[in-house]
Amino acid sequence: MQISIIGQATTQFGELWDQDLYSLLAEVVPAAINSAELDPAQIEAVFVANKAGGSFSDQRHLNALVSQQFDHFPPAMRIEGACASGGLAVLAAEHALLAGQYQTVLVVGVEKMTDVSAAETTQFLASAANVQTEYGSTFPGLYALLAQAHQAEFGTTREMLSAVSVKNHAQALTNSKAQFHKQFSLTQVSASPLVADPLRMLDCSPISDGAAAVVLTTKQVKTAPKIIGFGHGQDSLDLAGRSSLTELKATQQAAAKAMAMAEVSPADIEVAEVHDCFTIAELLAVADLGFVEPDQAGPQALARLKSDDFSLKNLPKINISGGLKACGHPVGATGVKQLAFLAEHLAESDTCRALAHNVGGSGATAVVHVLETGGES
Amino acid sequence: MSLPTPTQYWRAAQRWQHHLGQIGTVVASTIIRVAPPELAPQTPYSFLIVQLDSEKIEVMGVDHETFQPGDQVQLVLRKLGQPSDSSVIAYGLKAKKIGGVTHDEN
Repeated sequence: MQISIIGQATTQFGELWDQDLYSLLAEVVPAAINSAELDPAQIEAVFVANKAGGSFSDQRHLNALVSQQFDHFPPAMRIEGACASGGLAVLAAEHALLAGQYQTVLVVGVEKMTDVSAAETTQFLASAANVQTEYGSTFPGLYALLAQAHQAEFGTTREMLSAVSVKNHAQALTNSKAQFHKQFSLTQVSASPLVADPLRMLDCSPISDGAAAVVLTTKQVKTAPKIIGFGHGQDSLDLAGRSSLTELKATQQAAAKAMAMAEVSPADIEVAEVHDCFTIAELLAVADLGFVEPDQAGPQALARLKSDDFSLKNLPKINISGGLKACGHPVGATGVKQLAFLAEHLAESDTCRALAHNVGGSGATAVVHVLETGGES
Repeated sequence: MSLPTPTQYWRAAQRWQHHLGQIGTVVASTIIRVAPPELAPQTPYSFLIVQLDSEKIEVMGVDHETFQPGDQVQLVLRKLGQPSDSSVIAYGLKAKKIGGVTHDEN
């Protein structure tokens, strides 16, 4: 049994002053179903990804909120796994599909983050850390510790971190849904204000509003992109509980499972959307996913800037949507948006195989998907 | 990450008894310059991973002290945030430097 992505939709990402949680859902749900050319009554179940609607919008019970958008009130559940909520919701949908419980389901991710102050947002996001044993931490702070360790072990430089930001902002220029359409130089990134040493403002993904949705089915369809592998990994929530600060074992586990299921190797992946919540996160990802050796993560980021399309021979293109850094990071939507973006890319390009990598917290949770271009299933 | 209520404070104290006074070595450190509202008055502050005898722990550094990997620190009780008229003055574990590695000034 194979799972096809037969419909997808993504709202504009950004500071959407005229949109709230409800209007984002009201926009993206019918758009995804229309894209699939389905009647809404054909949606048998809904999986909703959201990190903190209760904090940002004072609205919980999002599964019921989405279900009531349908006349037939399909069964719905909300999945929360910090910034990996989207990837986990897709996983939950896949498990239900492969168990034969449903044949066609909707996965929707949503987050409305900009109605509160930046300080409150920092507080809500920090709740994805272990608030008991990591008191005083912030998300930039935790990733800054990973960056410090990477610099100490591999000699990763300021320029290598900045190169990730420069590339992803440049690639977002062609993505109409992206939050930012502004190019930056290495110097500008490296001179932006410090947030948590060594991470600077332009190393960090933004606070974003947005939603994304995909329609998945196990029915036989021609041409629709297929999900040929998925994997899920976990590690210690606390950084102090990790055996290494220069790799995310959850990503390694998720990638190994997804690639084994898909019967592919890292060399088979042509395009990857990886979880670049901070620039150091992309350097960790390209190594943990098996694309490069850990000590080459920084040098390959710099080398990509020498190519017009940021490609390198024998390596996948990374974050052509602009990634979290420049496309935006409405946390509950991100994992779903990665699949929606890649499904559209596979349908419209000559790319045959793509990978999506979604991380929760400072790396405690990771979900990896491998997608392949359509063919009859 | 709001400051603890008295009952949360009492429960946290059970953990502090285990760690208070222990000496360890800094594994990694950063300086947090943007923090949630309760901690904003303390910025910039250090946040560290410290290797103790048998475990690692994550703690804030005292005041505006900066740390380097390899620094020797002791876990002490310090104020966690700005006290208000309506809440207990919250204390918690922080790391205080007791010895440093030699850093080449060049």
